[in-house]
Amino acid sequence: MPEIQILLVEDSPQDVELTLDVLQGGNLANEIHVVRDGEEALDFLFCWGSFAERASGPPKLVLLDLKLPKVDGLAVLRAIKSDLRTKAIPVVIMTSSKEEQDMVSSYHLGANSYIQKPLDFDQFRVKVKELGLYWLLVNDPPPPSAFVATPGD
Amino acid sequence: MTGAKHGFGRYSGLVVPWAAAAGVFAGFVGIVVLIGWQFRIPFLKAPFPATTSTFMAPNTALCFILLGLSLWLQRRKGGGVRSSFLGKACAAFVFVFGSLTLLEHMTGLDLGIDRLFFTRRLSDWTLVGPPGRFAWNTALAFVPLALALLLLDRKWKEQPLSEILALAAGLVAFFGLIGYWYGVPYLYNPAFVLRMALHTAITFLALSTGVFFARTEDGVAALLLSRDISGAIARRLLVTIVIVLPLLGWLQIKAEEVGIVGPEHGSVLLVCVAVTVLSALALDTAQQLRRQNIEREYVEALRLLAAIIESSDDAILSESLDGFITTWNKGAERLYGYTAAEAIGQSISLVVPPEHQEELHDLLQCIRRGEGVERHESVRLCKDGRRVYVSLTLSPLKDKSGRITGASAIVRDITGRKQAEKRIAHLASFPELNPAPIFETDLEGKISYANPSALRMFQSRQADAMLREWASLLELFKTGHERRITREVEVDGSFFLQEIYHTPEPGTVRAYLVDITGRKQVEDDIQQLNEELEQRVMERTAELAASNKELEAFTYSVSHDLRAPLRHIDGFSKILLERYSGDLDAKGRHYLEEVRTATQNMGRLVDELLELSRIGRQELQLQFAGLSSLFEEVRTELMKDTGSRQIEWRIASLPFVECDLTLMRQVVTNLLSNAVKFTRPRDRAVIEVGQMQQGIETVVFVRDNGVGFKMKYAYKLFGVFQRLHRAEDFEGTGVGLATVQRIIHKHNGRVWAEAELDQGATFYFTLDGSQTDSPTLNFISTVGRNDAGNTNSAG
Repeated sequence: MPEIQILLVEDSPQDVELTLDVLQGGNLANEIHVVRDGEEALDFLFCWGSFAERASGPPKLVLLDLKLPKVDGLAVLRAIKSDLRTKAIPVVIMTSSKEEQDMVSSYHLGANSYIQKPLDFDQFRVKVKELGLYWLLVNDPPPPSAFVATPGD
Repeated sequence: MTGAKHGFGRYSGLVVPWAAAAGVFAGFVGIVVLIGWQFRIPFLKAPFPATTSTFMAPNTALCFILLGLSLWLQRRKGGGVRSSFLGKACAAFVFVFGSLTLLEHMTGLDLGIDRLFFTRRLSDWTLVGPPGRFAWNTALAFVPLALALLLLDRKWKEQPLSEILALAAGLVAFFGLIGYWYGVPYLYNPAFVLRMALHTAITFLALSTGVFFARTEDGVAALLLSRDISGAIARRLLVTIVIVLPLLGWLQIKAEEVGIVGPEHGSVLLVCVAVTVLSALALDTAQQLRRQNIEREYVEALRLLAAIIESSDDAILSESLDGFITTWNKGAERLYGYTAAEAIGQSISLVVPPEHQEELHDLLQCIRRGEGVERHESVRLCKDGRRVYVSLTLSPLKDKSGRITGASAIVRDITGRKQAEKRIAHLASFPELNPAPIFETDLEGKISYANPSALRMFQSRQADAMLREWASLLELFKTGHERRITREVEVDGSFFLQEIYHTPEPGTVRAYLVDITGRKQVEDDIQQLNEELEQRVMERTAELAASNKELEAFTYSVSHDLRAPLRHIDGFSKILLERYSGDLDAKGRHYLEEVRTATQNMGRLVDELLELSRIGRQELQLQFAGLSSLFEEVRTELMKDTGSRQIEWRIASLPFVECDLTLMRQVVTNLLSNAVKFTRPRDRAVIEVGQMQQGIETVVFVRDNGVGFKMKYAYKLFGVFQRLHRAEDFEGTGVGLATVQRIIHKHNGRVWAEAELDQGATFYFTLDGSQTDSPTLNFISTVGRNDAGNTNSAG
């Protein structure tokens, strides 16, 4: 299986379509995996359940919506950032919420970035393109050793 | 009649007639003697044997006739001035004659008067001496006697002259008489041979007494004949002395003659007996006087008692045994209204009301048994029909032998007392019937009064505790100046409010208790209710907090859930526009554009609504802020989007205020952005910000020269979603001013606007903390952080 570049955690199909539309414009579509709720996201990241046989390593970027069914976005964030196997994965919160509390919680839990989805599509497109560019091209990703949980860490 | 005035008693009738009679007697004797001389009847001249007495001289007889006539004339009934004058003339003649004869005796002259009358018969004169001349002492008696009759009605220094003179004459005659009695010759026959005859002496005495009784108002007659003790004493004494003493003298002489006693003893005997007799007389007289005194004192006492009874305020009356009124004092007159004349003799039942008549019978029965009745209360009837309450005290009246003859009654009007008693009973019934316990003790704890409620309270067990406490209270009162203590006590499960008063004079302590069990219960209930209420309040607050939390959650989800679809609409429509614009005609593109615009509008609306609700929920976080700097910040921010517009900013110095900075920024933003927005049509926009005084308030205003609005619609200004302009002219959600108002109201301020269509608008607001009566604020506000005056900035 080819390496997954981006894990998109988003429950709204419209948002998925729009986001993919934007990301595809940047030629990053083949490497995007979409999960539709928090539980699926965790299954995927930790190779549980239906993803037990997943061969690929951790995604290069997780785009995480906050309002998710089953397991909430912040819970997913917490899970990711408290496990050494996934802690190093860059997580960008992408949400329509402007609530201060959400931002505070997200950053406190270790989110690497917080993007508020603007209402205007043009602005949205710009943001997504830029964040994709940044995290996949500009940013130096963590090395594989960052995902190993060794005793003494 | 003067006799009645001086009380001559049973002799009064004899007074005046005796004088006249004496005169007649004297005259009669004189006539008889003269007849004897004339017709030579020796018996008539000398009725007594020659060894005892001699004859009466004719001149003597004549003088007697004249004096007798004088007395009779002056004292006869119906005698007028003329007879009186005649009488005096007679007396005067005798006076002269007697004086001349006396003169003859003394000087030895012979004036010839002796032989004036009955000259021829003088040959019968048997006595030695000049014939016809009466005796020396006879003359001596005639002179004063005649003078007395002459001066019968005259007084000398209050003493009746005539009586003194008559007394003198009487004495002379008396001596003669005694002499005859004693048989002593010299008494009636001094140096001279001639002597007063016995019958002469007797006649003189008669005449003298006649003169005594000639005066009735005063003098001897009055004294002797008076009815009181003085007359009695005078009579007794005189009679005793005049008779007893001569008698004793005679006894002495006789005793000496007979030889019982020798001459030297005689006098001693006489004196002893005289002393004894006179002493006895004196003592007896004194006894009489004393008895008289006692009687007088007794009478006086009686008079005093009578006066006391009469003047007494109480009615004092007496009645006979069968109930007839016998005495009635002034007090009785006053009480009953009947005068003494009306009451005395009537039955006592006159004043007894019909329903008490039986009682009358019982009372009299008591009296008959000899028992008194003390302070018997009853009702009596007055003359005017009024009934009065009385207190009767009856005593039996006894005569000298102890027999009950009637009753005396003292009747006191106690109507006033009865009324007072009724009033007192009435007043006393208040504490007596008071359901609240009231009691009073002295300073030693002895109960002087306790009403029935208090007595009941004392019977309860716990009252003992309260009473023990009472003792310590008393100590407090005894030592201190405490006058009043209020406290709560519990007795047997009931609570009482105790008001305790201490009166130092007369040293009593009084307690009024009010049952406050109900109040205590209510207080407990209230306490409980309060606790419950607080509990409920806490619950409600919790509910409210929970509710708020819910609301926040709601807002939160709204901010997500509403925005998401909006974003989708916008996104897809945009993609559509971009990718499929070739397939769309202008109209199609236009429609899509409209869709996008609508979406964006809704987004803004959602944001502002969220903001509005958030403001409502939030608590103010107050801090001091300078409005000038705030306005400056916002202006700078807004200027970024105004582009090339010409805007003249005049921001004056504004006060420092206590406010929520975030919210205030919102206000300023909304107001200024409005100003900026609505001045767009102007070539040169002027936006002015300043402050002014309205009374004690400081008002901040934002004025623009924009399009303004009609005051007619001013009331809509601050309503949510209310717009006074068309959307295509000026964009806006209609929430901005509502937000401003919400925020200003949260600061306890006011916001309002004035405008004129096309003349611009002015928005005013006040804040609770922007009052200039705070000197600090005042000072700070005038200093300001902004440079005073206008700030011009363009673009």
